[in-house]
Amino acid sequence: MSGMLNAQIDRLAEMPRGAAGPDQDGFYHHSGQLLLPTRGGVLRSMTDTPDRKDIMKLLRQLQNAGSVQQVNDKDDAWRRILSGIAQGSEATALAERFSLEDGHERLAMVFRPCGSAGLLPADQLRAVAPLDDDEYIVTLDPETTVLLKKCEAGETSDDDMEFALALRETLESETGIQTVIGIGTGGKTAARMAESCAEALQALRIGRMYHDGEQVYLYEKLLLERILAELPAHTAAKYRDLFYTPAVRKLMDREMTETVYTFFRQDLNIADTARQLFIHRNTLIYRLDKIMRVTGLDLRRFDDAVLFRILTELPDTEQN
Amino acid sequence: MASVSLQHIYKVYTGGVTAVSDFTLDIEDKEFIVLVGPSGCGKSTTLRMVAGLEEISDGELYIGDKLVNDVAPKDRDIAMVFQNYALYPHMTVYDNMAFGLKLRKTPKEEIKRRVEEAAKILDIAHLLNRKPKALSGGQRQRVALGRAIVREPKVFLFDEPLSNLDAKLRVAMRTEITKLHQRLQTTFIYVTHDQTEAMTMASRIVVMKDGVIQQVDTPQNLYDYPTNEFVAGFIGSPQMNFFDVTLAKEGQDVVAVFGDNKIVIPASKVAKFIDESYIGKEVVMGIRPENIDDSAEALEASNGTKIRVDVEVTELMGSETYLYLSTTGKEGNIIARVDPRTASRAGDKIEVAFDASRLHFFDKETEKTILIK
Repeated sequence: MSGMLNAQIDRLAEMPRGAAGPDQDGFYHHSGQLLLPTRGGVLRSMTDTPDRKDIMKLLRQLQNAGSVQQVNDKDDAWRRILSGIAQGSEATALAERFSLEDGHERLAMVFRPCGSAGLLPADQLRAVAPLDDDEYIVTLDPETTVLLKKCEAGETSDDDMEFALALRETLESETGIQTVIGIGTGGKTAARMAESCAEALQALRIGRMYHDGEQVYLYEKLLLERILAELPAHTAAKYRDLFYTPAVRKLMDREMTETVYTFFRQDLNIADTARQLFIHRNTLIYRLDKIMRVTGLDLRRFDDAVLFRILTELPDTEQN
Repeated sequence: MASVSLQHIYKVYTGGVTAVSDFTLDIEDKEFIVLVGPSGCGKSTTLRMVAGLEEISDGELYIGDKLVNDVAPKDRDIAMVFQNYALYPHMTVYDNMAFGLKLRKTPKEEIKRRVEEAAKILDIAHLLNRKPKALSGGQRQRVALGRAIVREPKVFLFDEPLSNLDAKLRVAMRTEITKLHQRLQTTFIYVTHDQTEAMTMASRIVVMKDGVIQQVDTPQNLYDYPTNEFVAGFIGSPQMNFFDVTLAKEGQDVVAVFGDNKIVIPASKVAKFIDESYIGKEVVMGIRPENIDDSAEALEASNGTKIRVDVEVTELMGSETYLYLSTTGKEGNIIARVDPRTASRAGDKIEVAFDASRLHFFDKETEKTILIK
């Protein structure tokens, strides 16, 4: 049994770059492999199957037995909780031992480097971020840094977005490091912080899929995208093919796409959209009429606009 | 205050994609230079190389007399204003403006002096104790500018700072930034994809495409003497009309023929052809919308420069009207900018006159102008 396990599950010193995760069980996925961060390294299975997942969970439990006593500081405790190494009773024990649950609401902001200037060390982020002592910065892996930011009374998700953009800008101008940021929702317990971190990671993944080029992605503002991303690939493909006839593909060039999305952002208001695009309202009406002729959808009507938005945002599995 | 010199700068990404190629430009002290071009042309990459946010693959960058290729961004004595003008929502305007200086351990008294001075310049002194939420879009943009001003840099870098503002505010901030340049007397390097911004603010404009400089000149010269078809089409709104024409000799005249249309080119213009061998060949002819007229006076004065067109759409803009016209030998619409009191209506068949002294001609293969200035 042990020999068989050794042949199929081994250990890496660190998480490979580009690994996706963690999923809800704390696993990462990379090139068909299943990866699980544990104390002292990363367990790797060469196949990504449910039974292999169960075996690795068991191995982790055996390894982590008694590990609470070996954690040295708050940052390490948070790292274990956020990465899923410590779950359930172990996470609760860590939270108690290091007083991680102090009654403050916090949320997770996940930073990933995206430019050519290199990785983002936690101490660089700490040096330029306007943070209190009880706001934590945790390095999950070389490419993933998490900020657990306190939520103040009256703050909205727009404030979180603004804070993240400002911090991103400070980081870039002070260190040259460019990042993209995912933001999860708030909570008070350590377990909720692990969920918030997973939400922030999901926001990054889905946000970049649908709105590539943006700098900050808020989990709670990506509801439509999350719903669409969960559609089975064949269902999404069926409706995409139905909508994207050759005529529609030809019609939806860059200019037309910008026109439609500006129209949506301006809440289907003709005058505001024309102003925003620097075009005459007749030109805008001409374009909307053209879309109606080709797609049969009149974007000035709410129902048609919603349908258009959904159809054009269906995940393109080929492209992604 | 400083000059900036970019000498044969290249940016080549891993994988071999060249974003900027052989970029050479000398920017004088106190100049307001605007880099303009379509998205992906390399303008932001160039700015980011000046800022130190992108590594320079090859070439030399000087700020003042100092070679700064390997100098860290924070040590280049530059300040950058980004597109998002994001402010920390939990800090006051004062703290937002002071934050960068605090990171640099600037003494408190010095921070106070600089913030108050910048606030005065930007007319936001009365807002210093407010939180960003209590500011309008324009005021927030000014705070973002203030954050750059307090650093007292040698060079200001602007990366599409107005692109997130609505149209009205964008126009207002354009004027503000021009005034700020006059007041600060510092070198400004400004990136935009909006040619109107470039034309209204710059002392010189650099037009870029595919990572290569197309032309560097004053706004007026770019408009009047574009060196190639790309610049001619990019600068000006609505953009220049282009026609595939054949230049032919008819008696003493040289004419441009397209479809059933013929335009007589004035001798003064023919004299400016860099090479007479173009006569008899196919070239690209360009004319700006304001140089096409449907008025009775223009038609009467025209000397062999009229063509027959169908009016497809008219757009009354208040101070002018755009006519969208079609004719033989021209794919797509011709746009004419005419008097708002024009009698032309959609569906009409009319004549329009070209101001032939304002015609542009380009080589069909190289797309370069075939006229001398």
